[in-house]
Amino acid sequence: MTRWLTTGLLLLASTAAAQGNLIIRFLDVGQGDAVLITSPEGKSLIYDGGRSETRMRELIQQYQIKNVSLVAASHADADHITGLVPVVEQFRPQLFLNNGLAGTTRIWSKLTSAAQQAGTKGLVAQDQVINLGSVKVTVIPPPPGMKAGEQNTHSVGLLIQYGTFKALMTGDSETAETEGWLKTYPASALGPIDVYKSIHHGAKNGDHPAWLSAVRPSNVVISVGPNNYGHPTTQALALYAKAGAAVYRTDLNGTVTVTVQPGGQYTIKTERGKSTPTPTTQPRSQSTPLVIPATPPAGVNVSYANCTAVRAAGKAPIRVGEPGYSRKLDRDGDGIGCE
Amino acid sequence: MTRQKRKPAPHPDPLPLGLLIIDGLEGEIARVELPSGVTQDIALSQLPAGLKEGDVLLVTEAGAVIDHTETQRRREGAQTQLDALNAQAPSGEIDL
Repeated sequence: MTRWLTTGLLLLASTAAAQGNLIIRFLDVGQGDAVLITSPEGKSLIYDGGRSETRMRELIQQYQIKNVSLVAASHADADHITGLVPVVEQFRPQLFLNNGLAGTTRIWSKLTSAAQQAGTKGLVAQDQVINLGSVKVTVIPPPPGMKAGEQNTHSVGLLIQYGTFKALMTGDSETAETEGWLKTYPASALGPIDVYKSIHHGAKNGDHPAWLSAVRPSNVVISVGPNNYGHPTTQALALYAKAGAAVYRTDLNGTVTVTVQPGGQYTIKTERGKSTPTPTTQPRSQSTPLVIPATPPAGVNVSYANCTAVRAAGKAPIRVGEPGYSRKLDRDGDGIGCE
Repeated sequence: MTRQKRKPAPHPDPLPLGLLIIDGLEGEIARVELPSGVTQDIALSQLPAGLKEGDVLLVTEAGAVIDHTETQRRREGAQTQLDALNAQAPSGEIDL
């Protein structure tokens, strides 16, 4: 009896060890940024929340999020903070990391009021380490000298480290801010980065050659949806190609999930589609990325006349990239039709 | 020679009325928060010159103007609220 019990306990222990992975999800929130980071111990932080409260509530259900210890707003723009509101209301996180620069919008006010009501403490970004269980999160505050009042150039960055694995995300920072960071931090402190979130949804005022040569990304994830701004720009895509990085886009690939094992080995899985372009070989000192693309969706020629037809087919809500999605079904242009 | 009639430029949609807030500027487009709380992209050419991120616009039938008083009021109120929230922040390395 004792022997069976011991065997059972050992099995349980090995299952728990097998689950000891860091999971980073670049959530498909349409045009906006939202990254869910869950430690092997099951602690979560959310870096930006996208532009839709409804969409974030769906994602909370879809990924069965049970707790959030910290929410981070890279800056106060609506496409980064709106989805943080339901997260704060539902999970009452301990901390709300921010750049210290208040927004004037109603959604900003709603977020700070929600944090106040939830008893969540504010935390202005400074050079600081936050341990999310066994995952090391280094806060990258805006460098000195940024133009007062500008949100983008006061974006808060996060460097995520687990074993040899490194991920970097820097909000909607612009050239002035990344140049400031290059002066503040040695290039070796920044790169090479295994998984990198494209700056500002691939805008032309975000990533630039000097910055990317310090970051040296193996994989770039662009959080982007239907938009009027031309994101991602051909300039940004050309930079990532030149860097030899595999590129994932949430508008084409849906949510992009990175699973990191304790040593730092990692896999990248997409909800749909493949990364583009195929990564070129680049000498790396760290873990080898394994790209596991999802099966492309079948029946791509489906089209629906209206939302009634979509609902009748049991396909509502219908997301960009899914068979039958079209702009006419997506009146608010957030990448989700027939909501 | 027949004279060709010039096609009139498409007329832009009228601006939504009420207090609009500039959430962000993206090149020639402003992302604007409407009174309902949703955002809408509006061409900068339709908006008053010189506006900045965070500005509050008052749009009436007579046109759109930057409401500097309301902008300042909202900016100060929001900053006071955020500073209060940030006042209890823990320092040093944080374990979650």
